[in-house]
Amino acid sequence: MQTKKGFVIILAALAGFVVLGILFTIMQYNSIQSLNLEVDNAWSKVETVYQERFDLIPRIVQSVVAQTEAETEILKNLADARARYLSARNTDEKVAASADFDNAISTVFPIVLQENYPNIKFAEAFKDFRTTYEGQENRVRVERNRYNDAVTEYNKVIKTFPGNFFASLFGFKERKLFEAAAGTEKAPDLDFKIN
Amino acid sequence: MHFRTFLMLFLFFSVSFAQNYPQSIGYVNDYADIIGEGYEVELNTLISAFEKNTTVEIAVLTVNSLDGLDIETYAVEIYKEWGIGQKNENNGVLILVALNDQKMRIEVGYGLEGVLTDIHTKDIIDNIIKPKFKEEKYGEGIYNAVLAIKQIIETGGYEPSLVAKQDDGLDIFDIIGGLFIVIFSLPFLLFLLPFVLPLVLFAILEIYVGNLFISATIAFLPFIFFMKFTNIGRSISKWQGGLFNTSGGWSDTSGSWSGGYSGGSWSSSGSSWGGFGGGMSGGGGASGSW
Repeated sequence: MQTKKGFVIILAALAGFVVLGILFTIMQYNSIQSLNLEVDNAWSKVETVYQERFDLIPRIVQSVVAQTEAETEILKNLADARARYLSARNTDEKVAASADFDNAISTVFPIVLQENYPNIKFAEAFKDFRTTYEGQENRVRVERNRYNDAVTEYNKVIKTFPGNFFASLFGFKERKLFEAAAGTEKAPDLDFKIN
Repeated sequence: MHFRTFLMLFLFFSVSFAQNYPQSIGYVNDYADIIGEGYEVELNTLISAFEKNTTVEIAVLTVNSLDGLDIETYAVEIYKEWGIGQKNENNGVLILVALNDQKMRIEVGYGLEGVLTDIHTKDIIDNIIKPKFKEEKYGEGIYNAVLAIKQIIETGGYEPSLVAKQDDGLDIFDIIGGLFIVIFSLPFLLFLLPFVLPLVLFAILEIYVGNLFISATIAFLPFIFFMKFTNIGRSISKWQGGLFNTSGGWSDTSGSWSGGYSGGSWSSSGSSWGGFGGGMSGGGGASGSW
């Protein structure tokens, strides 16, 4: 009688343990997976702001460089960088195309200084360009930081106990932080005055 | 490898402990005390009427210092912290003024970026706010800016996509939501596990081994180890009031994070202020100085 009762207790304890273990595994999987999806979501926002930038900036550059000698060349460079971004197959290529884009934009400023337009319309156009450019840069920066925050949180969970155990069980891999291509961490300095 | 780990830890802690941002006490949060009583009342009236009509939320924050952050970072963090605009509309605007830094920013929520463009906000800063600020008429400058923002949003034909949805009682989603709450409260049952399991084990061992000391050692030692030396155990023991926690070395970042903000100031402000709607921004808008 005594033995049978003990056996039942052990069996019940084991069953309870198994059930709780399964529940715990499900919850672990769900929390890792939702962090993983958050990283994807943050990345898609980064891509959205990149895309916006590629669509918006050339239009505004056009109004600034219109009727200058370098107009065709600058617009061509921007279009090339945009095309390369669109056909990029991986993140590194996208980041590289984005760096080309920044380079093309930075050629706008010498022209502005050199031609030194006296008319107000141009000054307005340049101000709008500058505002839009800064705004897009800031958006990219914000989404990039949020992406990195999401990656950091995900990586922290899959590298510490008990997340590391479940991550390897379900094949969750470490995600890469977004690092800007060398030389592009800082946007071109637009802080000169035109009057 | 080690560097990367270090970097991650560093990032994690720097994110968690970064800033103690001011809390919102209403639409107008004049921490630098530059707006003036009259304009504060006017602003509140203007903004709350505008929210009633359009659900758009406009927040004003003046601070003395940005604590070394650039104004763009400060604005986007405050915006996120306060959640200005409705949750699914992200239709908020933040006007941030940093007195000592002589900087200002208008941060626009995702949902208003189409109607209130960067160029609009830059124009408001340069043509409306800046001239008044130069004469130290801060309240007037901000009031005129809010008027201009209101006008741009109204004439821009902005309409929230889900105009203030009526609360139509219990529906199927509430029931599903309730089920979710039940399922997700299961982790709390797990918190009981470290207490229940050793007790059961102890009872079984007591029956078969009959030696109190050996039974207790076998039953409780692994759990003490679990509670003290694993992250989850430490979280549990912290949650349970530090029953097993002997060393003070463990700093639960998530705990101190929420602790920093749940200081009860929502309720202690004495008014009916319940916070903003939970909107988000993504760095839209413009900055300027005076």
